[in-house]
Amino acid sequence: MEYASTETPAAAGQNDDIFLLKLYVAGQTPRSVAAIENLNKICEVHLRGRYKLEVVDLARNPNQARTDKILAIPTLVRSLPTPIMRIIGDLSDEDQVLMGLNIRRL
Amino acid sequence: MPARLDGPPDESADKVASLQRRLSEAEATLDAIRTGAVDALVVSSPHGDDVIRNIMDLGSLGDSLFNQVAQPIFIMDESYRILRSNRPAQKLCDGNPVGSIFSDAIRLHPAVAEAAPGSDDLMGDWIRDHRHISALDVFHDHPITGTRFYLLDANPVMLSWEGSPGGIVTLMDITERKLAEIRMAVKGGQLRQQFNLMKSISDNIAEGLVLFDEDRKVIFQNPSALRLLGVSQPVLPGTDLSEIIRIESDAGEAVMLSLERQEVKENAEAANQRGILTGLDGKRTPIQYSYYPIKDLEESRGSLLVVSDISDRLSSERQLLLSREKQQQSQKMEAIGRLAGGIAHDFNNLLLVILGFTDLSLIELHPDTSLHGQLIEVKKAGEKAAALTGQLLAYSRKQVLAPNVRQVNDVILDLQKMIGRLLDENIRVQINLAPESLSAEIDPAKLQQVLVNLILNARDAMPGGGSLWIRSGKMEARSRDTSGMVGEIRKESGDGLPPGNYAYLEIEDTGHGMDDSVLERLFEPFFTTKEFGKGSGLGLSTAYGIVRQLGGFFQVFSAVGKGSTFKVILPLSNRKASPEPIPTVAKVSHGKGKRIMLVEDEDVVRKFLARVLKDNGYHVIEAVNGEDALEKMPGSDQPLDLVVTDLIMNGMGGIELAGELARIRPGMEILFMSGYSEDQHKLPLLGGENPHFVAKPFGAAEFLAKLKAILDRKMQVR
Repeated sequence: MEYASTETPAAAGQNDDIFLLKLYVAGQTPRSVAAIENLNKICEVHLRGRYKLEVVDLARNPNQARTDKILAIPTLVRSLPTPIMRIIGDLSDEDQVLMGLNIRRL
Repeated sequence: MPARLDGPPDESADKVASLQRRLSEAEATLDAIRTGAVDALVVSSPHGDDVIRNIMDLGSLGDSLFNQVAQPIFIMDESYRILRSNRPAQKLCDGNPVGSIFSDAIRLHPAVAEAAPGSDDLMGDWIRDHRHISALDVFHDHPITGTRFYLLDANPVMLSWEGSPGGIVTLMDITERKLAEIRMAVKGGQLRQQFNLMKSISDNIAEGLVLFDEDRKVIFQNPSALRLLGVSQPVLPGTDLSEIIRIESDAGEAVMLSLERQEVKENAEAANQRGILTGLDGKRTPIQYSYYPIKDLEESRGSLLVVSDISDRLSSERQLLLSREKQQQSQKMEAIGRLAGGIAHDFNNLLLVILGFTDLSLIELHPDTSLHGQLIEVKKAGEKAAALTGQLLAYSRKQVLAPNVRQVNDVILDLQKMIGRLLDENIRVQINLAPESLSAEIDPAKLQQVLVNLILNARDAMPGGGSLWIRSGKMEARSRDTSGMVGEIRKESGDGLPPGNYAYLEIEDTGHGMDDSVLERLFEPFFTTKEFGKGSGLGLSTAYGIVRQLGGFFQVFSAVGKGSTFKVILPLSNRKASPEPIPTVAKVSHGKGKRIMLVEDEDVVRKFLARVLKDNGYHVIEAVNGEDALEKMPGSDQPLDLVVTDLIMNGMGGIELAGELARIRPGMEILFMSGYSEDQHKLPLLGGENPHFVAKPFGAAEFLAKLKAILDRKMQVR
């Protein structure tokens, strides 16, 4: 399991919700690699201090796909706040990602 | 809070919303798959497990295979941006190169310089050109692992999951093979270089090299060897040694080249032998050769013959020998000359006194007395002694010669009468004289002495009779002729007869002839083949001395049983022959009161000459040297008719005296005396004429005749 997380919750955020994110990748595929990079960037900018990100490599643990009903890779799953939301792709379109995760632009 | 969660907690509404969300997610997923936004799909395996099916057909399984391939593999899009790379590729790039441009991620250089001049041009735009690059030789410098060589394979492909063209680059590590190749190439290059070096050496040296295998068959030869062997085409490999190498020793024996002997002696005998090589064209060349065994010649044993042409070396060695002989000869001549000249002065003075007083005594004694007879013997012995001194001087070329331009034939004609008396009846004489005139600068009397000597030798060589030819003729030497130059002659004139025109006098006999050892020593003084007491050994050396003093040469041709020919060669003179002086009968007449000053430091000589002069009516003033003479010089009222002076005296000598007299008594006649011919050349020209000179020893009659000739001539001039 690979995690990229910020430990200190941000006190100054407009939104107090903690985002729990899981990014499903499969090895070092180009889109998986790109997705990790892109997501890290977006989170650091827009969710600084209030997110937890777990990167799940399905190449190593294919059966974990079942938990979140993953069909395609890379897929980002927002477990919290509910409802669960998914975004498929390398997350290169920031607007689409923000919209899909329902994050207000800072 | 998200708007969609704001609605009333209506179960069916929730379900609808959930379904709608699921539907839109499904749509988004399909959309993503369709647009290529995903890499892989999660599918169920036949066993019910979930597996990741990579869109690139390299799922997790493929991925691990991909990584297990030993060759670095790069997959890139059409802008050469790396999409994927396996572990070996990442290792090569020191990190994951995905996302970077291929040529930036890994700098490859062409291993074959000609293939691509610059690394940028290494592959070109191969994806867009749809060009397959196969087995491109490249190398990569890695800061840690060093330089490694690869065969690069670049394949433009359609990336199905991208829906666009891309390419796959694989690198096959051939470093070990390449290094081996390089080592081979370097070694090969060195061998070739060594070969080329050896070839250029063997092509350019003057020594001939012929290499044989263990069966003595030719393997190789260089151009110089071909030249020496007298063949224009290279000798076919496999030709037997004996077919092409024909060497004789200096003694004329065929030389068998053999290695056995040399092996025993560890090559010592193999090197630097001399011999004669007969080429296949028949040309004979003096050579120096070495024959060496060669070991490890393709694991067999062969041999190498090194041959050098020593014609030039031999001729320069010969030249050196000749010049050394010449030098020794001239030193010998110089020593003998100095000795002879040294004793001649004193010895001739003594002889002059002995002979002079003997003459005077004979005049006074009645011929019937026994004393008269005894004195005749004294006189004969004295004359013999004088002759010996003369011979010694002749050999050392210091005797007094009176060379004049004369006809050579006249010398023989004058001898003709005497020849009959010299030879026995059983010897037939034939004289063939040149029809043309042969003028040469000669002293007829001395040249006759030479001829008599040769004729006597010819006679002695034919005790049982035979034929004798005397010939004269004209000859021309074009190049330096060395024929017939034996022993002493060769030592002195080894470089031969200088080109020019010559007269020759030839004495040929049918006698027993001479072998080489005799010829070699023929002209040495005191060398004789005659019985003890029959010859002084000075005859030929004297003859040779005379001929050389006249500027001439000797040639001798002889062999045992084939007779001998002696040829006297004299340079022809362009000047006209002067007429033979009419011999005046030297009547011993009195001086009729003529006044003569006699200058001589040797008392006995002066007293003897004074006595002779006074006895013959001359008035004599005696002086012991130049100063004394000048002191005793009478006044002009008593004029002198002649000054007779010795050349070398204690105090002022004859030449100085002559100089003084020329000043105070111009026109004074002077008669010089000396026993040493060199002195004659030191004499001053008096009034533009040759000075009067009389060589010691001389008899009273000769002296008086000379005196009279001068005084008579003086009278005529007046």
